[in-house]
Amino acid sequence: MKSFLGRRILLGVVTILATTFLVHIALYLAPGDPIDVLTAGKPTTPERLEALRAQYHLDDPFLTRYFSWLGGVLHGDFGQSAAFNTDVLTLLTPRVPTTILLVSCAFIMIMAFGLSLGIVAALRGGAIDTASMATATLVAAIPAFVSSFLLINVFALRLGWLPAIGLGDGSPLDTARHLVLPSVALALAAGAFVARTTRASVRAELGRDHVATATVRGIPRRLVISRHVLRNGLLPILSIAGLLLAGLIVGTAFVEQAFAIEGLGKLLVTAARQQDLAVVQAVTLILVVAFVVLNILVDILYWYLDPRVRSEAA
Amino acid sequence: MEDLTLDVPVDSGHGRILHGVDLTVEAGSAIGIVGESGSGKSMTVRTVAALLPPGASTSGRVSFDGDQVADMSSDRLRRYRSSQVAMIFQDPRAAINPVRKVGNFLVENAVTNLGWSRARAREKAIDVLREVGIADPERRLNAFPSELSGGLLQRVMIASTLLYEPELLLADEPTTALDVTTQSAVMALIDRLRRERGMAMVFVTHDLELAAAVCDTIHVMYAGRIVEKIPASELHERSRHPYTRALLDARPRLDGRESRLRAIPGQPLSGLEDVTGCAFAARCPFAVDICRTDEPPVVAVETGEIRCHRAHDRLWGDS
Amino acid sequence: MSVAQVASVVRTRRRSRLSHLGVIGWLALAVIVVFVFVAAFGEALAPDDPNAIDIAYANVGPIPGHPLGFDDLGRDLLSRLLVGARSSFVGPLALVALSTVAGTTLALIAAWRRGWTDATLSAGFDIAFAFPGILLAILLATLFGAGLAVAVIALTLAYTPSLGRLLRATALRETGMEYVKAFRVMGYSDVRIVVRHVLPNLMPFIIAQAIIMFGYATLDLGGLSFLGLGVQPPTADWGVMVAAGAPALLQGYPTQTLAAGTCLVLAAVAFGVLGDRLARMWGVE
Repeated sequence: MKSFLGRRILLGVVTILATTFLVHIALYLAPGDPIDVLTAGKPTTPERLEALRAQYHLDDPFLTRYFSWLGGVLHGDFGQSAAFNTDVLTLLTPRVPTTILLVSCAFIMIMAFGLSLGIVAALRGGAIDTASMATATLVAAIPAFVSSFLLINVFALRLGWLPAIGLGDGSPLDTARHLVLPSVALALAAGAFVARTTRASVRAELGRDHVATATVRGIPRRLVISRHVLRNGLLPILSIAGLLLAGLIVGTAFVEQAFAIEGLGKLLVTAARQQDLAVVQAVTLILVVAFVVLNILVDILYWYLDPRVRSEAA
Repeated sequence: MEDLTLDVPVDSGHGRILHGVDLTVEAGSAIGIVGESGSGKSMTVRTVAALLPPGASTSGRVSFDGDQVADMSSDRLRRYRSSQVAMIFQDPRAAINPVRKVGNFLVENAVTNLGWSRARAREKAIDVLREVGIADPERRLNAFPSELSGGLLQRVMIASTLLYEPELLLADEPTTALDVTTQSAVMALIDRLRRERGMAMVFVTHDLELAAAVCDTIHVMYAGRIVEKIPASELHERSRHPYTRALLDARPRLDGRESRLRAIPGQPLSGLEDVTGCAFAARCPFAVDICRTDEPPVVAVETGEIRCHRAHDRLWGDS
Repeated sequence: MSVAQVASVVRTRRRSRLSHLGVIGWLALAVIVVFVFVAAFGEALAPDDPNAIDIAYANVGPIPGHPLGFDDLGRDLLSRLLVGARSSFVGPLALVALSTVAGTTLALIAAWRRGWTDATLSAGFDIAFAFPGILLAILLATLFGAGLAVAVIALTLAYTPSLGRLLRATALRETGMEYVKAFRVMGYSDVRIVVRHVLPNLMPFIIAQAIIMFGYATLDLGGLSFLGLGVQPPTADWGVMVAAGAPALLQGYPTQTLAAGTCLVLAAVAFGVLGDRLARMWGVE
């Protein structure tokens, strides 16, 4: 376990460093003087230009520049935002918890509804199976930037059950009410995908010989399902959980935009439109770190749940 | 088992894969079911354990000690499966849940169905592992299936049936998926344990020779029908069905008297295909007109039963 | 039979008739034909000038001659929707063409050379596959400015490895076949064997995957245009229209956003279903 975990963490750190390094190189592949990118082509005072040159150490050699940025990040200094005229950390601090909350709610919904729908469809078969899988196929094709508006239109505007945009006054109850629609919008397509994957996996497991072995030994069906079919059939879902979470995190860009929620996703898009590199770099770093950490967690979970992984690694 | 038919759902409605199969296993005796892939031999044994594919329907009777398997209440079926009948599958790696420990697999039935304590079941599990020739059984109990070889796993599978000594053992090609070197050892083990404990066995294989060595009676299946039933001791000298003869001729002979193998011409048929007349007619060197139009009846002959229009013709000079 | 004949027999055996598409497959094909037609002749079909602004008609609902009504600037919605088809499909077309060519080339090289070439390319595919395309597009838009071309290039970088990864496995099987060995023994050049014989045998797989990919491309590029990082307003484009209609939607005029969104989803579903059916029909799932 120790060497396995060590390898995964090392790989994660390399991924993070490689990504940030590539983002830095890209700055110099962009056409024109990097300073044009940093000022987003807007007319700027000579003092501001000087400040930017100093901030990005533009007069230093490339590697020095990269490491001074990295050093700053480790001290919580993400630089100054050109578009928002404030330091990046101030922008990030309130937005990180908002986005984590949104992604967590969506993830819980996906696991609760996607898994149970897939399991019921696989075990029941027949009309329930056909109907739920046809629905899931359609829903999986509705992207978050469309489903957001469908939900707002129906549940906020027509029915008036839930608020349309924003996150409310900050009280827990109000925040919860405001979170429902954005979480559903973020969860819908991925949840449908999980339902389909779960169904296929549980179906495949039902036909395996070891399930026949358990049945032929007279193990009650309830136990055959829980011990052998579900225990094994849900493992593949864990292996797509990493990709799924990455998709959700990126998906916040669309949902936060549609619901006017001030989170990391909306910040990233606004900054990109203004070519505010300092902010984009910082958010990218946070997202990549999140991917890496979540993937390591998934791998550890897999290690505990699937002995085949362990004997392979050994 | 009397006049058993089995229909399974296929793309276009229902397909029949077993056509009137009759089988009897006396307590303590062993019968072999031999046939090519697709002949319905695996389905036949699975039906004995009421292990049918979803949507399948059967007619005819499968009875055990006078009880109809199809009519059993769920409690009775559970008792039948957990203590009276046991099944050994072809590929132990597929047939043993890969994410649970070997010990868990061994004691599952005893603990869940027979109400044994975990400690007693473990103790017995160690005994039976030793009996099937597995060294260091205490350590093996804590291993996962992926850490064991195929031959060892099949021994574990066999051990699991010994834990509660069923009356009937169903063995579905138990050595096919194993290395050649371990095949004979595993087969010898099954044979010895069965005889020692007086279990009856239905042994499914495509290997006539092997079946003849461990069984009392041989049933040859073709396209979902039993075409010949014959005592194992008579198989070589007195079998009469053209298909049985063809199978015998298709094997390499150890004494090297015949230099060429005689392959059976044509493709094997599965029970699913519609045939008029005898299912084997298209590949049979002795087929006459009636074979292609009428389904042959079961004919009682000196050695047993055969399904052939030419049962009483002397097709082979010396038999 | 000559080796060339064997290769072409392998090919014919896999081909089967369009009648195996099924009702849903035909329906998807019909939807796609309609969309392609609209993309080609959108201006001619549009009843009105899609860019003519008339504030007097802002958010006015359906009236005779204007079955979908008007947007927040009083532009005819049906006309914008019809004209918008082209910009919504041109990007995906370029994206699919580029990534199919790149992905196929890399997969064939990996499968043909094997050894360390294959190992390197596969590792590259695996790493790049895990990196979200949308995030890459956002990064490139920051550096090079927002626009359709940048979005297409960014997504090409993300799509290429996913096709390469899928195709490599199939290509490995194909290059391992007997007829390939026979051609090699006969002294044909590598390029000739791959281009004349291996590639044609992989075409069903590549075509089916490209069609499936087109569905994803429509949604991804539509999404980037929605974020303001793809097609730029005032060009009529479905992704742009979803975003442009949002303020009106909140005031109770949802037509623009929902109609444009429906077009995107319909296109994505149609391409996804058709690709899926073709793959199943050709046995290349």
